[in-house]
Amino acid sequence: MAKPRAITGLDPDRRLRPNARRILTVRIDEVWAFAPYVTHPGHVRELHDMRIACKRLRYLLEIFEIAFPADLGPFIDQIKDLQDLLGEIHDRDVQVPMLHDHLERLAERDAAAARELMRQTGLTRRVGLARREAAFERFRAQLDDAGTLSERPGIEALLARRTQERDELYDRFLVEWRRLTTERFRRDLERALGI
Amino acid sequence: MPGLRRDATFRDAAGRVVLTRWREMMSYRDGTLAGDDIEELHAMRVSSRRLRAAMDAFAGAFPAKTFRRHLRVVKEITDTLGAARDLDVAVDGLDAVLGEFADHERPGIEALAAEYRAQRTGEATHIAALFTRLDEERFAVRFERWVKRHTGVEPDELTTNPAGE
Repeated sequence: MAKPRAITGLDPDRRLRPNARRILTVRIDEVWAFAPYVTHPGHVRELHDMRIACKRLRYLLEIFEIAFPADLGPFIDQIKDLQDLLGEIHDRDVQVPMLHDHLERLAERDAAAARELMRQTGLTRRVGLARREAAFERFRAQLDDAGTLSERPGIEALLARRTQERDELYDRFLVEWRRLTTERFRRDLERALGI
Repeated sequence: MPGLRRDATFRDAAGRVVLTRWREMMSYRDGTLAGDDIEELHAMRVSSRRLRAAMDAFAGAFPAKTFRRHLRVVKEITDTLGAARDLDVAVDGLDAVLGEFADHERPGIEALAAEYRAQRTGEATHIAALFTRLDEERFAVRFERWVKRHTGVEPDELTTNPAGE
């Protein structure tokens, strides 16, 4: 996670507004510093860091809004919407690799179970053809039974769903980000703060 | 924000905002420890993030060394609650979509939810241990005194003058 940049030149014994303005200038910069990266869906880390930067900015605007005559509510709402979208994307970016890991664990567990089944049904022993075929039929029947209870189909379906959701959420984010850029959101916010 | 005025100094605002956020966070402590309602823990975590944001904003009003020490504990609270919250969200998310999957797909999702629930039980132990330690260290009292010392804001003012803005 990107650490917030240090703020210099604050004077605790001065009024709130000039100090708040100095802090907000830096925090706005931090959000927009990710602009070159977030137009690519694969920049997972930058999207996450941008979410954190949005969250910091939003909380600060909520704290400092009392110090400014302009109504900051609509700006706060817009940043919250952006932060929420980025949060939804981040949830999928965390879940998708976890589901891949889970599938790997299931594969290892299934392989171990199959080996155990082979051992129990005698498939690994040196026996005659008839006994081996009978043992194989028992093995296949038990494997089919196990298959109906398998956890894999559910995890694979969930993985497909979360991946699709991630794509859709990213598209929505991009539309929203481009809209804010077109509507000169940053310029208006800075004007409202007197920056 | 109780007693916060537009023409306040940065230092006075620091005291009021940080103490208010601190108390807001701690108001969810008992509910979080009880564990009956996952929203209590969620509210406490969100409050801890707001407190951290406030502390970051007003860092300039506090000495750097003691500021870092207090912020570290608040961050520990956020992180400890975060692990439990992530599992609550994961279980909730799986429960919410379970009905939309085919019969043969459900065992996998149910098993995953059961795994997360088991992990969540372990997280409750970590949360209880953290708050026991903070109680033993009398961290709440020390935190409020520290804010008062550096901002001049009396913690009790916040409850006696709640609509002071």
